Amino acid sequence: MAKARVLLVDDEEDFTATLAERLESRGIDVDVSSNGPEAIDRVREKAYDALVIDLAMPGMDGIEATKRLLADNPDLQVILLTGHATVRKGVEAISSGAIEFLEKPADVNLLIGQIEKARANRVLLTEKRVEETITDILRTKGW
Amino acid sequence: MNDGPEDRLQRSGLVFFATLTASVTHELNNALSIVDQSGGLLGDLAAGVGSGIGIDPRRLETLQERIDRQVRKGVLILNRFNRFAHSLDKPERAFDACAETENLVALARRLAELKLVRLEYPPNTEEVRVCGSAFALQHGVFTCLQKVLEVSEEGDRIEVDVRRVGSEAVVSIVASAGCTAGDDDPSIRLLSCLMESLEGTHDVRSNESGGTSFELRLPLASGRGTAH
Repeated sequence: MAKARVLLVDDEEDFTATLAERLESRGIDVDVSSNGPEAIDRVREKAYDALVIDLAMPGMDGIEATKRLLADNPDLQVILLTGHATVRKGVEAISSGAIEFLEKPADVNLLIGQIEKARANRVLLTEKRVEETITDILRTKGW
Repeated sequence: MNDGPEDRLQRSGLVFFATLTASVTHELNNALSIVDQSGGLLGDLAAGVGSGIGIDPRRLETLQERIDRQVRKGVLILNRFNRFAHSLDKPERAFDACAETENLVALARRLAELKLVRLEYPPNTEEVRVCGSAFALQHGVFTCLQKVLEVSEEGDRIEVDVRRVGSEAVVSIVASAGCTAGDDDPSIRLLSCLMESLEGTHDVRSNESGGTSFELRLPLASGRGTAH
């Protein structure tokens, strides 16, 4: 089975460097971005199984980044990280389309569980898209 | 609710305190998260050694530097926040307006950075002693900062400075963003109350480059109160 591909988005370089190293040692392929606009560019170039995005970032925050990313690619699986989870932030995060909302410091095993869940979701969505495309072709082409 | 000006000042002071507390604890949590992940990574490496996998000493050095950096950052934030909290100890005392303002600016910097705005306090070794509530002065400066941050955009700049001018201490907040703030604006009304409590005055004006300048003027301490 191919490695899961994850994009970590956080302006704290020490945080992404450490977490990336921990995830990589557990067989996950990790790329890093320090802000929302850079993450949007990365996603245009490479397919990821999950994006792990910090909520509070300078400029474009995690909620806004998630909305923009999902507008371009609705099948993306986004996990939002926050320093302090509140009900309001949680509602905002899930409303933005994120599949999960985790509080920092995040337990690495819990995060990996969410990444695996995100990957499974993505596979299902991809299969569904392929099925829809095939059904559409069979229905519209006069074979 | 029909509160008097003092109640309103107390309530807005509490909101100010809570806003800074939320921001500071967020910064501290970020530093602790990095220490937490670094500790986890050390555990991963130790487990590797237990299984016979060698470690490049440079990885350990990098981790140690990372932890040191975050601990230093956390201690600096804590010290600044502790100093800020102590500004409420006495309602009136003689204090250095430069030191208290610089401390407030440092604590508020993250809020500016989140908007990609540069908030600066140029190095200033001058001591400008005033008398009154250090908390009220910081609240006043923060009110001005919040007012300009509302309209600031990426790349904007705010510079805060404190100088002795004649018999007064002058705190200037000069922002590249222009904001309209008339006397009936709630923030300006609050600023007015705060400056009144410090026996000072304030002035808000648009500057030549289209930005905004706030000036808070306070009488210098004349032997009243005790230095902190």
